[in-house]
Amino acid sequence: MKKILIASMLAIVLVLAFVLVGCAPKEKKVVVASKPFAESYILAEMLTYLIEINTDITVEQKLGIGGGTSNIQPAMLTGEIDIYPEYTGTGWLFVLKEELISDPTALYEAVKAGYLEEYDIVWSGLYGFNDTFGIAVKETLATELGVVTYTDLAAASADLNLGAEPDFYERDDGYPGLEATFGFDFGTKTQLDIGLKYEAIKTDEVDVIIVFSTDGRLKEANLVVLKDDKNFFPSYFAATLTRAETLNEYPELEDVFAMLDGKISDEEMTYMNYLVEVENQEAKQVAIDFLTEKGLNK
Amino acid sequence: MIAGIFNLYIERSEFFIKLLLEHLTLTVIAVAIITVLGLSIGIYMTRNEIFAKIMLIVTNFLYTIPSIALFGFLVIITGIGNKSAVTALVLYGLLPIIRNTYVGIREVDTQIMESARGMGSTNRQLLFKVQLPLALPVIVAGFRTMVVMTIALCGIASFIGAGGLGVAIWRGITTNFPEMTIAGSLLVALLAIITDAILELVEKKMKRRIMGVQ
Repeated sequence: MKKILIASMLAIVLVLAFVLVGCAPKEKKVVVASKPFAESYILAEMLTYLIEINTDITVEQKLGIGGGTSNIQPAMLTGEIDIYPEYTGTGWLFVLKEELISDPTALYEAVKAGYLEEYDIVWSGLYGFNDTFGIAVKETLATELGVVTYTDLAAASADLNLGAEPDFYERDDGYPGLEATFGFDFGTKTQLDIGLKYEAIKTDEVDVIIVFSTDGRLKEANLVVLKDDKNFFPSYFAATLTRAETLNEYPELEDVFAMLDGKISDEEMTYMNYLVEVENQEAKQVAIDFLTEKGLNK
Repeated sequence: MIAGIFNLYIERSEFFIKLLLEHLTLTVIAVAIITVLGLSIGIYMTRNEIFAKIMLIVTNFLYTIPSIALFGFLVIITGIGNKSAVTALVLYGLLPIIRNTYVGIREVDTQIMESARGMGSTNRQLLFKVQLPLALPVIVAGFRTMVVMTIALCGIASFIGAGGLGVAIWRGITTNFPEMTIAGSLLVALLAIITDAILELVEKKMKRRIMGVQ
């Protein structure tokens, strides 16, 4: 008797768990994800908003996935995520693991073809801005050391502390590449989340940080972005990635994604990041304001 | 800073209420699964020494895996989102319940057990009328530890896209918005403290009923 009771309790709990955790009834729905930083949140909010006002598809958001591409890409393959914004350079070097192509257009064509063939994932349009990497140091330190280019920095690197996000130390276009190209050899290498780098350099816990060229906080932080004198960093134009299966099911999405084609400049993206990272505005509001300004909110 | 946090609660109250409810749901599901699984495993362990040894090693091992690593690892198996979060919470929560159930029952006075047997108790009667009631204080202590731990741990589950108050914490960290991080953390702490206080009351009442002591 008691055993049956326990067994049935266990069954009820498990059933309840499944009902509550997932298994929602089938409806017209897509899952939009983003990586864990302001720019990606903003872009995902734009995609969500455009889909919701232009189609009858409901959007489920999974924003700020920890680990970024390394955890989103597998979820795209299993179909847990349908759509997210990604960068050409990241797709080519980090996911497809191919050799660097410096021409931005050739890179886009190559990554688009590669994704379709390997993963059945479609790249749609390019928003227009290029969010590549940069290396920044405090203005005062740059003057003191007389550092202007990456080559200068490499010569002084033994006494400096570098702060970068975990994946930068692993990617070929990240630290290993810098080491090989410029001979970087930092005294200390600190692993920091993207959101914590500016805080760390402000309090002098690190001397050098890896930045994104559209970072909203670059302007207010008294930092100098050094010159990439060997054109090391590839281009990172952002675009919308969608599972081919999802596009087949909802072809109307293609028109929605086309609305953002070439609409966002470097300056505009930097400014939106500034609004979220420095002014602490809500990413969703920033996204909607931008779409309204561009006449896309209707 | 403090004013900023309270403004956030007011301005985005809907956001925080939604996260709080998600947090509660995830925790309740995890706690329910842990309790049923943990008690069953714990009881079975008192009857099979080899199984007991293996389970203690396994749960100890699970307990030592850093949560971020476990989350990252689970993404590959159970994917992103709430399913992975609940799985991780269950894996971590099992240890306190299993161990306390096992130890609690094992430490029941052998003389009491013998007299119960002498009076003709069956195994089942022994378990439900003697062992479990006497072990209950120890089991409940483990349960409290587990619940508070699950509430806290659930706060980082958003790292892999799960819901709950961790969403606010992680959002704050990744968009340079410390008030948001603190606002989320405060609610997690509050939730844990209140729950623990409630459980303490329940525990006292229970003790009084079973042991007949204050």
